[in-house]
Amino acid sequence: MRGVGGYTGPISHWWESSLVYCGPMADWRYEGIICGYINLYRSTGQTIWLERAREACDDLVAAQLPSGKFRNSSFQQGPMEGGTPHEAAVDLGLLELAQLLHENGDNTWLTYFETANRNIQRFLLGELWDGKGFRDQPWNQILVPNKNATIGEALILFEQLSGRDMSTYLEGIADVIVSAQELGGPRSGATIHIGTGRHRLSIGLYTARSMCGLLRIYERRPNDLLLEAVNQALNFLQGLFSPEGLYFGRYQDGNLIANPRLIAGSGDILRLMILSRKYGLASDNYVAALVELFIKAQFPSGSFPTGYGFAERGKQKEYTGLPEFRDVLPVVGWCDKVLRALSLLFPRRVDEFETSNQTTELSCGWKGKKCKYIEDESVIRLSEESSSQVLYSWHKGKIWPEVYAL
Amino acid sequence: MQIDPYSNEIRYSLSLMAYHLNLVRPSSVRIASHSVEIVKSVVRQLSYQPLSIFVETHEIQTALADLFGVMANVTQNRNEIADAVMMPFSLEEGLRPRGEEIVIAACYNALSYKTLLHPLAAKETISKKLRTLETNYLVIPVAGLFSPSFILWFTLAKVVERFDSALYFQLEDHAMHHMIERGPWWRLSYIVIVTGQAAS
Repeated sequence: MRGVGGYTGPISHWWESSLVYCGPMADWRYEGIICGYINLYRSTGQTIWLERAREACDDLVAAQLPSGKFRNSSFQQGPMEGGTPHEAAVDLGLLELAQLLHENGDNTWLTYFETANRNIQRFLLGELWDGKGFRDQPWNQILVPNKNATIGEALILFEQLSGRDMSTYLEGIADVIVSAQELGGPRSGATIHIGTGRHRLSIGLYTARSMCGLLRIYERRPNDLLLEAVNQALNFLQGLFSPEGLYFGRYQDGNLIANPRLIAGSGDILRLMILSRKYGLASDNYVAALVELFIKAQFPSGSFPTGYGFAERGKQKEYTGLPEFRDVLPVVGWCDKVLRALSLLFPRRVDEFETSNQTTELSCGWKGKKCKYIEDESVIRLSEESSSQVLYSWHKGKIWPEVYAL
Repeated sequence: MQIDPYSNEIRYSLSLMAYHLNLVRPSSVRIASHSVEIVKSVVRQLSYQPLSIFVETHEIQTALADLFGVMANVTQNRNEIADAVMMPFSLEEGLRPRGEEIVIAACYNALSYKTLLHPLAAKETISKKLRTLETNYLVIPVAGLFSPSFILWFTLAKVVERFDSALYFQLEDHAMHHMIERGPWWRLSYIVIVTGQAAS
């Protein structure tokens, strides 16, 4: 999926999908890619993983704008700078590499540190911090827990490398996350996505990302209240499991948001489970069940589908028909999360990996029509089965699809 | 008319325009607009593409250099004609092609639901606007955005939003499936995207 300028590809998401612009984006895809490669390097010592992490970070250095923000960082919203939590996730990736290089005595760590530093100083601390937490955007006062959590993870790394005390910010972030947690009822342990306004959705992947941040804050300065919050969240997340993927979340009344069930989009839930095991909070059985779900869902091409059930997005009853195009679409900004989580479990040498250039071909739906979906080494294509009309065709690495007739 | 470059209507319009621009693979493009914010939004779509960019004013040129480090040319200073011109809601401003081979325009349409809600939102029908191009170009409407079927589903979604979140999200998704209209209803869509090839 690499093209000129970085990792490319169409995006499907709950909020909206970016299927027209497919060019490079400096968004949270880089967090999982960089951290995944670094995990593999740390566990195997093979320099190819370090080289790939560095290549990804070089994309980000080149994508930084004079303002300190990153070009095209807004994921599903399309090409715009200032994406949240995406710019913090990018900083996190840069700082993970900077930390590793610093440990190795490699002076190039400063390039990556300084790139993240410019973004942290000018954008995160300069434009988003409001004295209590980090705003969604400079013009939007809402303090979204998972976005604060990602910023927290980046700031902890920044603190370690810069020696600058980040306590004020991290205490604010912990308060934002803990105060958004449901304490009872059918959603007990869930993080409320404050950004969903009156709907007050609790969403599995964002609960997990909130808790990954909280766990890192706990590890910096242990506080049992934080660990208990993580424990409660894990109970909520276990209730979202289904064999086809993890339910997107729950509505305010506690009912399931049964569609879509996220597959690649649940990578961070597995990461939280893995990180929680050392505190006795998540069972090996549950981790194994999630790993099995991912492995079963993986396509012959090596990619992971985003989920299942987008055709009836939001419905409380489980969808059972053909997967929809948005379900089967492999999105770099979701697959990175699976890579990152699995790399914590399965340290592999590069020569142990099978090269997977096989074609994925399956039936799926789009707007009620039966379609054929193909992904091979170079293209992702959707065509209507009855007429063979191509509805969508995108060559990997390119900025725009050749055909967009969805 | 106040234009918000971060709004769905602008993002989706510019994205479709940039997609159609890519299909003709020009080496240079003029972004015909006097709005700094609109031109910035177009340039975001065009990043990572090796294109020479022409803009209307020095103010816009400076804004692009400051924000993106992009070195654009100012049209009025040069005799060169770009391969293509993008006209993001700027036929309305009175801007016109300068002889470019390809034109890609987004226009507001007075004959749409928006006019019922805001009578002064758009002053001319799409047919009238397109006539300004048709003397020199073979014009093809390629899509309408915010079609009547979109607004029907979206209105239903908004009606139920207060009391049924699940139904709201289903209806909103259904509405988004009708966002782009390629059939005859483009004529009643709020925004129309057209491409034009210079008449020989």
